[in-house]
Amino acid sequence: MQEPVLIKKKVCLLGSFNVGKTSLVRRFVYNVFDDLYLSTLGVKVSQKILPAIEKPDGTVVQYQLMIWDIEGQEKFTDYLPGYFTGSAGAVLAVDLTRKNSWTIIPDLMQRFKDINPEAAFVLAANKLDLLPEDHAHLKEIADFAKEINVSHWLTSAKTGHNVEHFFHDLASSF
Amino acid sequence: MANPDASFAESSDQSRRTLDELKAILLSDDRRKIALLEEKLKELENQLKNKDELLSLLDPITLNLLRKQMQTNPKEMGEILGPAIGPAIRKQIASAKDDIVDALYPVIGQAIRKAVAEAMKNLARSVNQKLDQALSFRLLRARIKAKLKGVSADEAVLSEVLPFSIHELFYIHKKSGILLAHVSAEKQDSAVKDVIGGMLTAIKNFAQDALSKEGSPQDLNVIEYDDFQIYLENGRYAFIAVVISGVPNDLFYRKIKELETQLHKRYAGLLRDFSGDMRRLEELPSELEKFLREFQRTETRSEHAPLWAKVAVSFLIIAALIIGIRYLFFPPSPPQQTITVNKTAKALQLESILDKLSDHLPASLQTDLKNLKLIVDGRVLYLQGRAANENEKVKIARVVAELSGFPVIVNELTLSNPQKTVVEKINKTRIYFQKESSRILPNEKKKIHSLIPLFQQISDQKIRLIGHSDSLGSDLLNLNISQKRAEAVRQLLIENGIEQNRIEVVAKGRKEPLVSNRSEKERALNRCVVFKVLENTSDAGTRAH
Repeated sequence: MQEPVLIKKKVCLLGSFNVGKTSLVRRFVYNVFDDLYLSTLGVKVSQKILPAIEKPDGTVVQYQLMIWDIEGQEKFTDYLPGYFTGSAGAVLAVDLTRKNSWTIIPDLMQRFKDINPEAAFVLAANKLDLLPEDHAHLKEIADFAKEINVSHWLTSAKTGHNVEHFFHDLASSF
Repeated sequence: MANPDASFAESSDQSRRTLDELKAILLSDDRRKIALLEEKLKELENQLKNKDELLSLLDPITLNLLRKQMQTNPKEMGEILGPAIGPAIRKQIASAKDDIVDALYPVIGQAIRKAVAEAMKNLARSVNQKLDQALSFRLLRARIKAKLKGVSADEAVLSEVLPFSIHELFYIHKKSGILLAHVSAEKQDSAVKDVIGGMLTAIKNFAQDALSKEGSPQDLNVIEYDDFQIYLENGRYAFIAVVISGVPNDLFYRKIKELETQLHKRYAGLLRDFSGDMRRLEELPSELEKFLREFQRTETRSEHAPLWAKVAVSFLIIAALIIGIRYLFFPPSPPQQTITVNKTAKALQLESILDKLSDHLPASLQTDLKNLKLIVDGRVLYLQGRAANENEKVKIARVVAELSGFPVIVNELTLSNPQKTVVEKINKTRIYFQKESSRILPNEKKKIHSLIPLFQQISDQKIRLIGHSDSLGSDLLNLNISQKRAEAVRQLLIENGIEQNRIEVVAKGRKEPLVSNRSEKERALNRCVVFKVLENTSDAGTRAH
């Protein structure tokens, strides 16, 4: 395989309070910074280098994701727009067990798109470990993802289920 | 007959009564005493039962006892009371904290003040000591360097005490916070440099979004932590973050700005819509590396003066000492100024500099450039003469520096009397008119307008406007036309805010021509109004029609 081309991308992790965003990142990244940054600045940047992949045109690329874990706000308008700029995509994180954490997503997504029109999205439906397999929310989240036209992943930061996959999925759509 | 039993009983009663009476007589004192004792006893019992009364009873005894014990066995008393005092104080503090604080405040406040003052004194002493040790020679060196570099001595001294160095350099994409390149002066490369790049951008974004006033976005320039600073040089699409320590000099700021401009020129097209593809930025780290190396070399060069400079400085110090001693013991009688100037072959070149000066200075310059003189002495160029004001003094020296290329220019221009210059300029001005006309031509109007600020500078002086004419026509006609010309100028001055009572008008007609009237050119020069600033009040008010 040829020497991969390094491509760095900024990715934002968005969602309400307590949906497990920071835990998802902690599961995923190599370098873990003190979470103090989150409470002081409202953002914490981490990085993750994904394995090299071959693009349809034959080029081999390796993505280095700079993940901006942005503190959840009550309203989508409360987010500082500066944190969104220059992003290639966003992970929309929700709590599977708490449906009210889903409601902010469409507006948040729109606000993000206004700043980054070409942005790619994935939906990370977290805390799967807390729901029984036949829970109604599992069907409802699939419908919700279809409604906002975003691919979704059922994840668990606790068990690590699907955590790598949704980041890879996001990178593949760049 | 009497009953014997009854009589016995009667006699017995009698004897008892007698005995009782006897007892009463004999024991009355004792009984009273017993009653008193009983009363006392009861009182004591009551006092024992009643805590308050018992305390009042024991108080004097306890106090006396304690006092006595403290005097005779102080050590033992201390041992006995010690364990009880700690908890007692703690309890008291817990229950009546405010009272305790109030009571102790004057004592503790004073003690703290004293301790802090002592600590500060020690700190100051230690800092002074260190500075003395570090600066005795370095201070002198810094001051000389400051003089040569033209920076403030304080800045130079600080640079000596806090040596400046660049530790790391980041070049970061402004919008995404993606690290474009990074170099470090230390051998070890930071594993989290990309994250640092992102966090720096986040901090910048935060400051911009949260702190900037609406409509006036402001960029963060410096972040300080411990002994380090992160200096941010903001560009259009990217910014440079430099981790530094010590006191940066002007050279640093200039070089960083130059680097930013250079990188912008080269990479702006790529960074405008940056895709994150790092292939086209492969040369960037080596560019930063080169900058860092060159900067460090420049700094080192300026830090370590060559041998000749050290010898020269030593010589200067010795010379200064000799001169100082000479002046101390043989003070000069009258002040004498002896300037020895070595005029070199550069004289011609210097003349051409003087000739070119006016082309590089504004037309409104009030300084007479003809009075300037340039003298070369070794590597130093002296600029002498009179400048109209401080601003022009600096401007002229700057242009001389540019044109001559001398490393050191000594600006010895003195300021001419500013008021005198203004007066001279006004008095030299002529407003010319066309034949038989008192209408002010547009160009002449401009001249008058340019004089307005000068009139305002000498607001306590009056101005005389003297109208003149050519020699053609009658005296009366010429007198009238010269009067009208001067009046026209007066009117324009008033319209431009000059007080009416400051202006006098004088008509000379053809009587006192400024030049002879032999040619048309000369006659045209006589068709004018002349300004005269009146020196004092005795000049004012003397109209000569």
